[in-house]
Amino acid sequence: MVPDWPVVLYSRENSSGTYAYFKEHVLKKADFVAEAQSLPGTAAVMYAVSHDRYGIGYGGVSRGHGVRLVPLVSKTGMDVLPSARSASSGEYPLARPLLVYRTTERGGEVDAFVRWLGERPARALALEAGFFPLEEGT
Amino acid sequence: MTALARPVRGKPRPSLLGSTATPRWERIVERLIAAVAFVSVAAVLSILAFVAREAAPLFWEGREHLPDLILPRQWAGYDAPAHVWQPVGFPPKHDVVPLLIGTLKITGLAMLVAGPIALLSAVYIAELAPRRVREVVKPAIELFAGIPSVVLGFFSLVFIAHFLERLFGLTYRLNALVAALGLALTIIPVVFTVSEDALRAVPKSLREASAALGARRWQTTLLVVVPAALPGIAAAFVLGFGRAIGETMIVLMASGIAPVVDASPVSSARTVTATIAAELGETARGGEHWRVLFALGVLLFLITWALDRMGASAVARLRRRLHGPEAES
Repeated sequence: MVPDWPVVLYSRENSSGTYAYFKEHVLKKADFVAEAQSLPGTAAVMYAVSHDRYGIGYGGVSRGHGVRLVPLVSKTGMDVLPSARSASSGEYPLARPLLVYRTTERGGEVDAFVRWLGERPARALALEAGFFPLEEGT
Repeated sequence: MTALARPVRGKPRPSLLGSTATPRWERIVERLIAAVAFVSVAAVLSILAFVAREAAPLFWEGREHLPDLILPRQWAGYDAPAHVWQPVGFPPKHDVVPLLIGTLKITGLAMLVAGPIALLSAVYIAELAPRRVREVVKPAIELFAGIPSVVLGFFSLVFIAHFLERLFGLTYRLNALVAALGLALTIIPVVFTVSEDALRAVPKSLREASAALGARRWQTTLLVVVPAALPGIAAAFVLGFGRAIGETMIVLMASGIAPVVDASPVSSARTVTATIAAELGETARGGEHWRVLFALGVLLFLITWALDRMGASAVARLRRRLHGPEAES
């Protein structure tokens, strides 16, 4: 039985994009409580949570080793864990794409790089790094 | 002896080569050395000027936000008026009071821990220790001053935090006390060195007079030497405080950096220095957040400058008291 003990919140520094994303999409623009601790990176959050029985934090799933992932309730009312399928189908409510912006005209090395991103080796690398790769043909 | 050591500036003097005027190259070199000495003065002043220039527009741009920097406000979604530091928010909230509380809490705790340890070590080393012990202990304590603060931060983050958690079962693993203990390690050598110098500067005649009157060693130490050195010891504490209040890395790593408003030593805290270090990198240049961070920098500068002046004047007072007014140099 878990005793009555305050939950310790591990957050990110307010200079981080993850912090801003979480504040906007999860807290719906409300503030974190003052007691939420600011850590310098997702790895630090995971370290803290894994060493604190009552700790909870957030971060990219690619770093989520050594901690217990908490399922979120999807729009359809199901408990979902982050996975390649639930992320790309939009069922997992906290998935966000990594975007590649380009300013140059089509053609040249940039084009080749963007094409490469959709190919099998790049997708294997993304998976290896803990990200969920693009669907084939996107 | 003194006449030989004193530089004869600009005065004609006999030379081996027969010329009596100061050679031109000597004057040039003297000017150059003076210029170099003024570079550091100019650097300090221009740092203050540039930092203040970034902060100053706070007072005319968006002046209606000024009270929010120090006064509690009833923000939407909060139960009561509160001091809130949430510079990335909707809207951003820049109340610096939580940061000042965090700074004072950690610095005060660190002084409470480091002060007695450093002072007692100084009394021991200056008054009681045999020479062989002094020759080992003194450099060992002073070696602490050379440890990079990032190393002490890591030590606090991993070992001190773990130890305190085991000992007390704290809610927050990273808290003000963990940071304060790490910080204490950096200020012990400062307080120790200056206090020890002050104690040793007490003339031997005072000790001899005390002994001649039949005082025991502890009576001489406690009732004669320590009171005589008190201004220097006060200076040591002031300098230690100044060192602690400006320390960034240890508090950044070990305090949990949460802008909490409470007096508990074991809740997390967020200091002024850690806030500047963590936030400045991603702050829009010239925005309100940017200006507030620079204003905090000016505040820190003024606090450490005032502390340094206080320490220096205490040392001067000690010197006058022990050696008479003519000893001022």
